[in-house]
Amino acid sequence: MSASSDQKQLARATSRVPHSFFYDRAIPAFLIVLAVALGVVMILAIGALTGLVPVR
Amino acid sequence: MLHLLPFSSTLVTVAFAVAVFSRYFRRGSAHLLFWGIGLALYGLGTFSEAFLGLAWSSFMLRVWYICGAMLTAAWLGQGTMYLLVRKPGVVNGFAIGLAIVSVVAIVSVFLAPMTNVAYNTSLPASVQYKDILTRNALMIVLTILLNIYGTVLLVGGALYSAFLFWRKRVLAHRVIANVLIAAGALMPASAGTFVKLGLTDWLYVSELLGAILMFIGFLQATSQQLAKAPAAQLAQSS
Repeated sequence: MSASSDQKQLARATSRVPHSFFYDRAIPAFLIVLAVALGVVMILAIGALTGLVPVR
Repeated sequence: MLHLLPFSSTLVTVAFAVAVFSRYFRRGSAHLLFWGIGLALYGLGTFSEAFLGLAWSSFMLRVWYICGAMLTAAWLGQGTMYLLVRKPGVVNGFAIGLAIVSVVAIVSVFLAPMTNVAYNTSLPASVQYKDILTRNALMIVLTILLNIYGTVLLVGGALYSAFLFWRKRVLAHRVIANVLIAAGALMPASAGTFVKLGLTDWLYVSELLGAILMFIGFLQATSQQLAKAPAAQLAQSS
């Protein structure tokens, strides 16, 4: 195995994020909350565009 | 006192824009240029909002509407498109389209007539502008379309990037950075909802928090903290 591939493997191995509650549970939960919030904002905006949500 | 909060938002946004532009001048990436322009628009929007909290100016109300309500999200989102989409022809096409639409938006706002309704400096511009600035259908449609375009790209792009890094279990600081950017970008995007709920003070807070969160996210994303870790361990193992 070449020195450069050793270095690549070591770099890849050392940069892997260890398991934790924060990383494995909290971050995906927060991503889902933000995605839902984005969806709600978009539905309101599209509703305003199509006339379903009143715009003065 | 809260109506002076936009001055704080302006300071944060200007610092953020300077950081992005200085990185652009070092690296020359198009996404940094568009983010820098978007942040300059954000700063102009919050500055004109702060100005309108002190004195009335029809010019400042138009600047506030163009920057604060129409263009900021779209230009920031265009930066994200440059970052994520690897087809230069497509992205450049959208950028040219955005530039043309932006010119149309600016012209339409400056041609829009104003009523004689008195402006109250103790209330946010977003509460009163509809009574003062006569918006035609084109302005309303452009405002909504530009905000949809920008918010989907900016927030959706940040969430997508965060998910990719999270799934690969690499560069945890970039996962957190993108979560912060998505959360920060959603704050001003949902400001209209706050106004409709009567929480006009929260509008200013959301603008400031949005700028702070995105700035922290940007600093976090551009930090080299974890990239150095493998190199340090390589040095130890050699």
